[in-house]
Amino acid sequence: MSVTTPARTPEPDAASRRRWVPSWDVRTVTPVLGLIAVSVFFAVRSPAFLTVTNGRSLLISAAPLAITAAAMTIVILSGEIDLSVGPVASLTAIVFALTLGAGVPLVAAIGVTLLTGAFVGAVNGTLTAYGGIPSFIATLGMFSIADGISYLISGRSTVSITDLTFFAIFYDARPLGIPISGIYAIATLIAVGMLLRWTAFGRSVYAVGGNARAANMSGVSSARVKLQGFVLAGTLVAFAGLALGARLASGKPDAAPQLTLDAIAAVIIGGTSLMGGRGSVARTAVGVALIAVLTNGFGLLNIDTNVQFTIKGVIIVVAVLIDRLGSARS
Amino acid sequence: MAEVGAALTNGRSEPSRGSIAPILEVRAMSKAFPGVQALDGVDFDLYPGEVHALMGENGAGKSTLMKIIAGVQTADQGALLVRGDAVSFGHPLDAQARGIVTVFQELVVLDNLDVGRNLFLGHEPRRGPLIDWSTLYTQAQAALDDVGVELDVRTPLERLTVGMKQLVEIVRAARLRPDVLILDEPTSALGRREETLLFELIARLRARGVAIVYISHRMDEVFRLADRITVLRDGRHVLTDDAAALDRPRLIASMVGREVVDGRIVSAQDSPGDVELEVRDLHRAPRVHGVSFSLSRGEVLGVAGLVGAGRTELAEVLYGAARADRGRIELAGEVIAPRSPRQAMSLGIGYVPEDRKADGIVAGMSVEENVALPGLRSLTVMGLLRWAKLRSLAQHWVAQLRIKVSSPRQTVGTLSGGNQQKVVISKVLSRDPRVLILDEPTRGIDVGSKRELHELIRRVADDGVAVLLISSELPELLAVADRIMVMRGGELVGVIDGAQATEQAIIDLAFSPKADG
Amino acid sequence: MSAPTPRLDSDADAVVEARAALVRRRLDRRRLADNGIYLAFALIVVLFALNSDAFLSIGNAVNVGRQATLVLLAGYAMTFVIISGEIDLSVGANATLVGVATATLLASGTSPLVAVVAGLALGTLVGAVNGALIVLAGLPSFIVTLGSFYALQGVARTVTGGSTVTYSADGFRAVFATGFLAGIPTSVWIVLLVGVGLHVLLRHTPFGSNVYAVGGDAASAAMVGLRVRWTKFWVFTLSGALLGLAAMGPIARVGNARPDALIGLEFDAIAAVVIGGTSFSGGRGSLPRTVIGALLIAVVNNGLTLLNVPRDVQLVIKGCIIIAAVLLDRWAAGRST
Repeated sequence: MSVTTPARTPEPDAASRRRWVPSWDVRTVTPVLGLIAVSVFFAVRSPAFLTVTNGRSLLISAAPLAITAAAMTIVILSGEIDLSVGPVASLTAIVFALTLGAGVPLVAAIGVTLLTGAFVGAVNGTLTAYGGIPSFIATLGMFSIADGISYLISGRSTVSITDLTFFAIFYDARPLGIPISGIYAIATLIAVGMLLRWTAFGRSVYAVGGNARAANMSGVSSARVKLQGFVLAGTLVAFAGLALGARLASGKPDAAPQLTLDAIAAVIIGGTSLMGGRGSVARTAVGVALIAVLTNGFGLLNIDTNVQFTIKGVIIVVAVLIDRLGSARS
Repeated sequence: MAEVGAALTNGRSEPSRGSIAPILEVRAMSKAFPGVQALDGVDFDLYPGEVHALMGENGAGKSTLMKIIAGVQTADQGALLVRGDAVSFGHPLDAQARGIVTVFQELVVLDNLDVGRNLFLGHEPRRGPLIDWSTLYTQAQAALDDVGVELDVRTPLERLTVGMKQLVEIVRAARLRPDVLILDEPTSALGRREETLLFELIARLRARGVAIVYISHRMDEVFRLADRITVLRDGRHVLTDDAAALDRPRLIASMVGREVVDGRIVSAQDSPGDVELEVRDLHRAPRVHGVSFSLSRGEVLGVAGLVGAGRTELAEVLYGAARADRGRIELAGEVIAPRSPRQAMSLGIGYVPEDRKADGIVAGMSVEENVALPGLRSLTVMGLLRWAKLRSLAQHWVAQLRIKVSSPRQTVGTLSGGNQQKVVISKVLSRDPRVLILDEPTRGIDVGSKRELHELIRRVADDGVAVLLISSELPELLAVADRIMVMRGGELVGVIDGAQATEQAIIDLAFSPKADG
Repeated sequence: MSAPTPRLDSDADAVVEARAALVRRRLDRRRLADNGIYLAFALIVVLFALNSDAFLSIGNAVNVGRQATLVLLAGYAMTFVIISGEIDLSVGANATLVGVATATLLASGTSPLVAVVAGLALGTLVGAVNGALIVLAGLPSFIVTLGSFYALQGVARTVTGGSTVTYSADGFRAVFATGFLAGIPTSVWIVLLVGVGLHVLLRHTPFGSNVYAVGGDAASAAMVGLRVRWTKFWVFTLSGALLGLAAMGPIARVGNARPDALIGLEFDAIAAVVIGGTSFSGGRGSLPRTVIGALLIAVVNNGLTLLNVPRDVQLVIKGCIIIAAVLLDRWAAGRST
């Protein structure tokens, strides 16, 4: 910027016109292009890919990951990480199955399950935001604890769920032909997206993740915001646990062994920064979709499912490399 | 090289410059940063066995000159000669290879390692493939004993005071047997005992023939140590002379006299309003001792003083980042004791921090969101943000403060320093503060934007806000402050009327020697 | 400070004194916490010894040592990585891949010596690639190693078609798992000797010194001329080699390799390092601490098993120990607010 040239008045119209269009930088474009390319590839190679049936099964299988990744997005945006989401999802599914099995009414059982998730999130958040423990370690400890409690209360076995109403509202329903769990997943992504975009809390999450000191200096308590983020994430993970329980018709320990790292992978592939403060749920949705489509498509093509792991790994590194290149240019 | 030095000097005698070639020469060096000509054709030379003090106000170009010699920055024009050879350094290690070692103000030490290992970092004595620890610690202890520093070489550095860490770094630098040693404000963090040790070390190195560049604000120690003194002002060379030929008044006169480019900005109001902030006998160890003052609506009260005079610490107490040990703060007649910046803000005390990047802005967020950050909750309806209101708030301040942005949605990190600072100021002003504390508001900002910020500060005051302006730049204080209070060693040593103040008067107060406090 | 003093400097001296007192108090706490892990270890051993006759026997000690070997080797690797200020999430996947590769070679009749060397080379290569990506592309190690976590797992599963690789090579199994030397399992000997070697490397060589410096403050280390990127690269390469070695034990013990056998090892290794008191932010810690951390988990698990406490409780306790260890560390460091 130069002092001598008179300042050009900004075009106010140009600014407001672009209001709803996200900025199309390389970080945003690449995952979307990747998703489109992969989808086209599978559509061409397998006639079964672009069918209603396949779309349904894709939604159903991706639902728990989508909900968990939404939770992870909040925590990562606030500059922290939550390694405990996988075991906590299993744990909450077991808690639900047991509560229901003990004769507690469905609504109350769902309430207990969500509260369990919120409580775990509160412990994680308190240890991190007020106890000064790096969230990586606090949630690593919680990872182990939740796993252990899962085994303990389930008696190391599968606790089946038999409530038909639960299946109806969490699995079988097909409003407009769309599987209900898929609707929950999409609704969660939209709700969290709205929360982050439209509420004071949401914007505080970005501010705290972007620069916690400046946020504190502006009267935003970064510790409180982080704690709230963990509690919200824990609650959402419990919701994912319900979806998981519905899919498996049971609660069991270690039901989703890769859920934690898959959720982190989805967030990173979407282009949200691990350092916090930059990214969005929309990006995470793209990341989840990419992972889900790959899994689904490889299945249809009868390609060795094991290759997926390798591809996922390569995509993560490539995504971050592109991110690095994108930020180097700006 | 030690032999050369031994032949050269004994005690404080003048090095005979006629027969000896300078070890370091700077010829017509220039360096510009966006908006600032940091160095403008500066000449500087340095002889073996001399202590050459480099003086000047903030922004005079001392640091830039030193950084170029040290290999941290490169010059735009001019030549750097070491023993007559033209050189250009890309890294401090290049300079080190030529025998030039620099101790920066920002510590370059490893807190997690002990004293001995810090002293030998990257040069560990070995026995075969292994580090010879006993030799390392013996030599390290000897190096410390040699200087008279009483320290256990196995103490982790994190357990030392900043001053001691600095001494360790200086001892490490000396251990590298440099021909040229550059010390940048080495005493700013030192206690008296450490200071004495440092002066003894300097005397010893000098006797060994090492050429020392000594950058300092403190007049008493410059006269005590230096053989010659060079003064820079506004990036230009003003004077180089033997220390013995100079005295305090002449030195101060050569440092000041920076032109206030556009003159004083006068208030539109005739006289300030009622007293807004009243501070009585405020103490906060170790840097604030019994400070009392009052600040009125519409007034700009400048705070001058050297680095470490307790100005920032005073501000910290006022905006709730630190608690007072004792004393009283009254805001509009009510006693307050803010516990956090959040609380101070809700009471009506706004603070624009010194470190804009670390404490002021969220660089990755938009201008509108930065401006709205402190008042996010007041911008919601049923929990939902009213983006339109948020945007119009930002547009209001963009227009008010003439922030140059392409749109309020522009990312703050992409703005110039001056415009970032305006964003921080509007963020604070958007909460409608009664008192506005500005800590070095124009640091690192180009000249044109500085002027604009000064006018802005005046306007804010004229709107009825009580402004406390902490600044190390005297022209800035002279341009906007109604009164200027000068701090030294944590105490208030004088208040000068802004209209009558001169740089001379302020510097006299701020620089008065430590001992007669 | 309350007495009126005309001279500024006596004030300043008083302040220095007060500060020194504060530092001293913190030091005492620091010392307590620094040695807290050893204290806790001793306490736990005594506790179990009082409650179980079987606990304090040579046979059981050997048993604990054997149980801990895998986590110890992975913990060694993680100690270097964490002290250098980085993290490695691909530990388990790397060891898994080496495991199936070595088992495949053994099953195809390759000489055990060649198979072991090839396995070690593979692990080393994986570590070097991790390191190269991290220092050359400037990517965070968390992400690079998360990527290799998936990629290596995928390769391991693809190579084996997802099934278990069975082999028979008695010599190999004797060296890495079943054999004894002077009454102590060979696997324990290996862990012991490698541990001593690595301790010397970390504590007594310029390379080890650089690892601490780089992890403590990479910018300062670069300013004084240390080769930050090379140091990190070698740390990851070394880590890969150690994981290659770590992979041998499990496949030798059971005589086969599963393509998901060691997933999750990274978290056990991180736990051992962190429980030992090595700082997660780099620059501090030591190998003996990791040994204690790993043994602490092993001893607790062993003691609880002897006392017939279900394995599940052991998981919960492990999690609590991780958090407690770091809380203790934070308390010792004395939080500023």
